[in-house]
Amino acid sequence: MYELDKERARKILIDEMKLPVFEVDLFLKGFPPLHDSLSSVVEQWLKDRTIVNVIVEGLSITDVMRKRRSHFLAALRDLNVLLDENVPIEKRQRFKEILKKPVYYQ
Amino acid sequence: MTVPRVENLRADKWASLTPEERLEALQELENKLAQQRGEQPCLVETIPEEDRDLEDGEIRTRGQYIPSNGGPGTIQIDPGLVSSDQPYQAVETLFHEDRHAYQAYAVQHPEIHDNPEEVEDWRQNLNGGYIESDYAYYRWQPVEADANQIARKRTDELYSGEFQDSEKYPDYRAEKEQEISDDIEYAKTSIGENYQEEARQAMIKKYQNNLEQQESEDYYYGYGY
Repeated sequence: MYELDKERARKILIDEMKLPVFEVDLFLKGFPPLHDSLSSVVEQWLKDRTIVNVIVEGLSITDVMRKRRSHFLAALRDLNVLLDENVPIEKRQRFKEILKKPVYYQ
Repeated sequence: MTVPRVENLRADKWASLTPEERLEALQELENKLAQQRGEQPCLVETIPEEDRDLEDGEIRTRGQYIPSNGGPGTIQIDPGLVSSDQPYQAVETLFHEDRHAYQAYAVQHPEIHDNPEEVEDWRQNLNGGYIESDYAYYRWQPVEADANQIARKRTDELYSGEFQDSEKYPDYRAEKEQEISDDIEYAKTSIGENYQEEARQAMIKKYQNNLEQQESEDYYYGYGY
């Protein structure tokens, strides 16, 4: 499993992406260890913010970011669910279908 | 409280109206909702072009309530919903935003709402506790969970009840039920089985956090350091 460097991520989300401090801390507190196959994608992003368009179970991270209106790490956390063998396969399949759908704010 | 009947919101009537007439019908609904509560109605308009949040050519904000100091606020609706020949999502969005107007009013006049704990949640939520950047927390924080629930209920009352719309409304209703079920499943996976309470607790912590920050700023500036 790959552990995110939360201090570095926190600095980027707050200083560069201008996300509210409280919401960043809340998000990072619940951020899970990631599947090893996602480690290089995260490292690249931490280094220079490049988003490598990783595809997991047929879903690309850029599509998930756009449809779910989420930032890079939130989309990665969601895609990680699809690789988590502790999550029952039916639940993963359902989650994948949800990630394909757009969210709306109002 | 019964849901107000506005004839031009019937699906068959709506389909024959111009966008301007549809907006007038939504304004009439807002007028009647506000009248039922003894409040001034909000102005209903479409989201101005410069404020539209586009993704693949589609607006991703269905509506917004903009409060006003000392008067009724403004409800803005996605123009795509007003252009659509089906009225359901535009009406449901109006109900949702109108509920936000009610929540803001109830915070100022707690005696109008019969559940003081709920009003206290709304007060904190609208005064520094609002969460925007994570969809699960956003969707299930008190003001949004309540506005979604009330809007769904009233849209059902209007179209299944008042208008007896059995032609196209059942499909829309099924889509909405799927959307709610997806939002629940997403939240359970992202923030846990107790997603609604998790979102509420996060909102309270954000509110308290902001309050402490303000107090410390007041102290700092108040003593002229």
